Amino acid sequence: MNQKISKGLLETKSVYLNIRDPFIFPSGRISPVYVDCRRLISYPNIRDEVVAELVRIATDKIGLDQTDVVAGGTTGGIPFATFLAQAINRPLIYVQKSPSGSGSSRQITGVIEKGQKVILVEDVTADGVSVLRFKGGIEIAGGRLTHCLCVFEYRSDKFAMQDARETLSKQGIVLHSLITWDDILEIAREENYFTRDEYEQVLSFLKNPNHWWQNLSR
Amino acid sequence: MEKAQNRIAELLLETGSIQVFQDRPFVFVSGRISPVYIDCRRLLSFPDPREEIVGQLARKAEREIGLEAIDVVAGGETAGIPYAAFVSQKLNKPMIYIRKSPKGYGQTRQIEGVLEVNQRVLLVEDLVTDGMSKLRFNIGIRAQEAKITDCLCIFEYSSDRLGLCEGRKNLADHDIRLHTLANWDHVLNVGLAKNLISDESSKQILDFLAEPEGWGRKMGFE
Repeated sequence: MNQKISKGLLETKSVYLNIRDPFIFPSGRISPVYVDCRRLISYPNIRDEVVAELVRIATDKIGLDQTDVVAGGTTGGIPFATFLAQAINRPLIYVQKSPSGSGSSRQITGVIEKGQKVILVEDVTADGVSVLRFKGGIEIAGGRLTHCLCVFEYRSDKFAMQDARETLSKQGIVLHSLITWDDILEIAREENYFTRDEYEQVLSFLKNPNHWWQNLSR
Repeated sequence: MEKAQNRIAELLLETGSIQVFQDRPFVFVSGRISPVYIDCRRLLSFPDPREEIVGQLARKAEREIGLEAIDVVAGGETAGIPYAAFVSQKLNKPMIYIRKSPKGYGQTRQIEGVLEVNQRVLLVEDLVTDGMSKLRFNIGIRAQEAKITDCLCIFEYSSDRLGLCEGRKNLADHDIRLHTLANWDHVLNVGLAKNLISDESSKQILDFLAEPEGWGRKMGFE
C-alpha cells in the first residue's frame, strides 16, 4: 500500500463524505463517499509520488517491453497517462468512452499500430464497465489491452468488495491500482479523518455497496 | 529565434501533425475546404519530437512569463489536457483542467483539480486559431474568481507575411498574452526549404490563408 498517496488524498481533501446527500455514480450506485483523484494533479509533490508509483508498476509488474503505447481514459485518466508516458518515453493516446465520427479508430485520439500492446491509465475504477468500453475502442483500432493501471480502486479486501477486478479479469485485463479503500480507511482511522458515525457509514457501504442506501435509517 | 521556430515547424510536418493535400483537399466538419490540415494530437504518439516540443513550451513559459508569475497550469478539454500535463510536470506547477461544460453527477464542476481565488492561470493548448475556445475556457476560470493571464500554444494559425493574427488580437482584448512556438510562415519556410511542401502547394496555402472561404470554389472543388 502506498501511505504517502493515501495520506495525500486525505490531506488534499479529495475524499468526500456526504451521508445526507449521497453521491450517485454513473453506474447508478448510491454512495456516501466519493474519491476525487483528479485533485491530486494540483499538488506537484503528491503527483510526483503517483507518477513514481505508476512507473514502478509499469516497469516491475507489467514490463516496459509489454508497453508499446500508454492510453488515457477520457478525461480523468488523461493527465496520469500523460505523466506516465512522459516518464517512460512512450507514445500517448487517449480513448473516448463512446465512438464518434467514422472509421476503426473512432474512439481513439493518436496513433495505434496493429498488434501494439497498450496499457490503460485511469484515475478511478469502480465497477470496471468504463474500462471495458475503452478496451473495445482500443481493440477495434487494432491495439491489445491486457493491463489497466488506476490510481484509486473502489475495492476492499477486508469486505470482499472487488467488482472491477473480477469483471476485468474475465475479459483478460489485469487491474493494477495504487490505493484501495482499505488503505484509505486505515489512514483515515489513524488520523481521525471521519467521525465515528461517518466511519460506520463508510463500513456499512463497503460491506453492502448495492444496498447501503436502503439500509440507511433516515 | 527563427531557427527554433523553423525546427518546431519541421517536427510538425515530419510527424504528420500538419498535412498538405496531395490530390484531394481536406473537408472540415464546418464544410470548409482546405489545402492543409492540422492535428497536433498526432504528435502525442511520437515521444522524441513530443519531448523536444514540450521542452520548448516549458522554456518559453519560464523565459517569457516567469515561474513566479504562474500559479496554475490549465488544459482545455480534451486536446489541451495532455499538453498542460506535460508542461505542468516540467515546470513543477499545479495543474487543473477545464471541461467544455460541467459534469452531470457527483461534484458538478467545470474545473477539475484545485483552483483558488485570484490565482494566475497559464492555459496550455496545442493550437490557437481565432482564440474563441480559449475565451470560453476563461469564462469557466473567471467564474471561480481566477484569471487566465497567459496562453501558451504549439502552433498559431497566423502569418506575419499576410498580416493574419486574429487569435492574438482576440486574446489581447481580454488581457491574455499569447505565446506560441511557430506559425504558418515557419511551416512554409521550412516546408519549401526541405522539400516537404512544393512551390505550388505553398502558393495554394497562402491563397487559402488570405481568403479561406472562397478557396475551395476557386480551385473547382465544390
